[in-house]
Amino acid sequence: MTTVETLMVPETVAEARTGFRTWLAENRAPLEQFRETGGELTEIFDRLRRLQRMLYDAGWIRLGWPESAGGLGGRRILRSIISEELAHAGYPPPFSFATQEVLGPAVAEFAPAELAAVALPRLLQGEETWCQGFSEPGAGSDLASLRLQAVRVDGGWQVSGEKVWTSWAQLADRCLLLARTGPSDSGHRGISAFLLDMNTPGITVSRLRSMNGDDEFCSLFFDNVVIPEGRLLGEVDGGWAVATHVLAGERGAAAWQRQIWLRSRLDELAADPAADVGDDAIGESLELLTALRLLSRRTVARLSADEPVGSTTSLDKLAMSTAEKFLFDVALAGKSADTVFGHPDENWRNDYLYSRASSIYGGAAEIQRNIIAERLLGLPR
Amino acid sequence: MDDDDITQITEALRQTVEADPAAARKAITEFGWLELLDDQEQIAVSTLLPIWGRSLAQGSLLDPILVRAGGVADPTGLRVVLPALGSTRAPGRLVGDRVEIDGVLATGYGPILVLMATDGGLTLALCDDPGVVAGDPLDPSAGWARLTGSPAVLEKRTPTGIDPDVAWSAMLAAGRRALAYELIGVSEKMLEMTVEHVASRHQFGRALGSFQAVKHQLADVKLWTTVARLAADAAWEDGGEVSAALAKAAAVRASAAARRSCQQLLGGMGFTWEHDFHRYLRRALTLEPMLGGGPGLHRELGAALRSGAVSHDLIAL
Repeated sequence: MTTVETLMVPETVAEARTGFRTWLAENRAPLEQFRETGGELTEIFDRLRRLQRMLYDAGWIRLGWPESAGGLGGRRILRSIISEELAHAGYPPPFSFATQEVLGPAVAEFAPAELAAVALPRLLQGEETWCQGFSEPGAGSDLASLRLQAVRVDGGWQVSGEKVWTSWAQLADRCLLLARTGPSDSGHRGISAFLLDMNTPGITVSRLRSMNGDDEFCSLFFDNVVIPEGRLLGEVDGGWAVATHVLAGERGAAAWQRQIWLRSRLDELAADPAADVGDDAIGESLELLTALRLLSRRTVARLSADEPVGSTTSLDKLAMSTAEKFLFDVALAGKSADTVFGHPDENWRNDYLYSRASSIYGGAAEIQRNIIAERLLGLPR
Repeated sequence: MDDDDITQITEALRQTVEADPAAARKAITEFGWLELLDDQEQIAVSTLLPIWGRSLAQGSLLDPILVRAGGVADPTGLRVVLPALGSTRAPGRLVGDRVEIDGVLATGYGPILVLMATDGGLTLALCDDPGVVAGDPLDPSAGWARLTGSPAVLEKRTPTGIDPDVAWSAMLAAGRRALAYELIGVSEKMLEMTVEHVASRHQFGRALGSFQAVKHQLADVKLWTTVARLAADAAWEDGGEVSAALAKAAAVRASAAARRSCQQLLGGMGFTWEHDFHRYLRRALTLEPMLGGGPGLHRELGAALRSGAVSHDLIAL
């Protein structure tokens, strides 16, 4: 097996691709166990963590991350290359891949150096997972109206309030939390971001079953939870910049991962002899997935070159939900009996149901359209 | 050529075309655009065709693009018979020694190139001028007419050294890329004129563009025109059939979204002869089905994916 000591940061994208493909081929036998995707949640989680550790030890998923975060350096685009090649080779993404791309860059950018130096390497290694404490019962699309309060106390901040729709909080070691630190009417100017430990006393996690039957969501209750000094990300009342960074990551590299997975589902649907799906529907799905791929490629390239992406990521997000819902609408029509009456392979039913959330999470489609109209077309608010 | 050169060429072409859109073909020939097309197809097409679309310049540029892509020697003035609107099947059928044609042809004079289906496969034939092509086109300035019938007067002269399958597939890809850019120009112009309209027109004491129902329609048009640009630019990366079909499909989606939403939002004003909108609508409706419209392209793309012809490396990082 290639070790960290021998993995040089590839000069080019093509070199990274070839190198990783070769490594995957050489390590086919020990990687075989990771092709399995089923099982209990804790089993899946454990398996994916071991996959992540193996990729970390070989150095591949350290590419494109700065050394201060436990990485090996190199351009950020290398991260997208590795996740793409992993998917093409037929392996599932390690559990915290999405978290790394969504929350990792914001923590690297805004966390105090000492905190980033501890937390990021552990995230990359798969030693810990993080969750995202943004939405509240009263603050969904209107995120800037959030009310969970953080007040200054000796030695840190004291937090009380509630978060909801937090994915996989029951497994998370840390939470990127948005809290109100300004007056109640301060909107997006009075929000601060923290990275706190989930084992801090006073946090209650309760499961919130989603409509597809998953145990992904949680409600989080904070009862006078004390966040110690050194956990603030960015400035006091500067949390909106952190949130914007997180959303850019979600619509950037995470969207690139998503379209790779969607393409693999399209390929499966197209090849399924039991699915009643015409060439026209397959072709239109391909067209829409290509739209997402083109937009996402542009964003990944800009992020990798440290260029601003601004409001254009709203186009990516809108394309993503449009493509995802179209694909699973096609699958629903072509496999309606399996979806309605059940089938040993429940994935199509589950993917259809989950796809309905794609135009809701991370900023609803209506919000994306408002942003596109106001910021990209200049229409009046 | 670097980006600055391309910006300069684009600006010069824009001025050339906008000076007199009705005489733009002559002007760009004098400009040397055909030589640019010989040397740098991507730059020639990606700079001029969007301008052509947004200016509604008279006539089409497809013929010089197609004959070059097909590798036809001495292409000057040659016109290519395109498949019937919405179709990508060969427009000609050899019946005995006659050619039955159902296709689309640029108005003008001179010999024509016809793709024919024969018992032995595809054949390209050089034929004499079929004469006046009658019709009542929706957009007379686009310079396209329907060509039907079986004119026995056509003389078949097969160009030498050309494999018809290879030539036709290259022509189809080149034509679709060109049409994509032209449709992008038409769509972007429709979007601009509508954004201007809804930002300046007030009803109920507010700008129309401040209503969410209006914003959301235009946001979708912005999405699809952006995607269409990216798809057209990406189609040069491998120069292949699939990426050209994807580019054309994206442009058709952008154009259809633009004409539907913009017409609705321009309201009664946009429904007058006096308003320019109908001229863009006519051009869009003419170009969308050429060399395959939305449904045909989707069928083709689906079949390509099922046959394994759509690589995962297409549009790579």
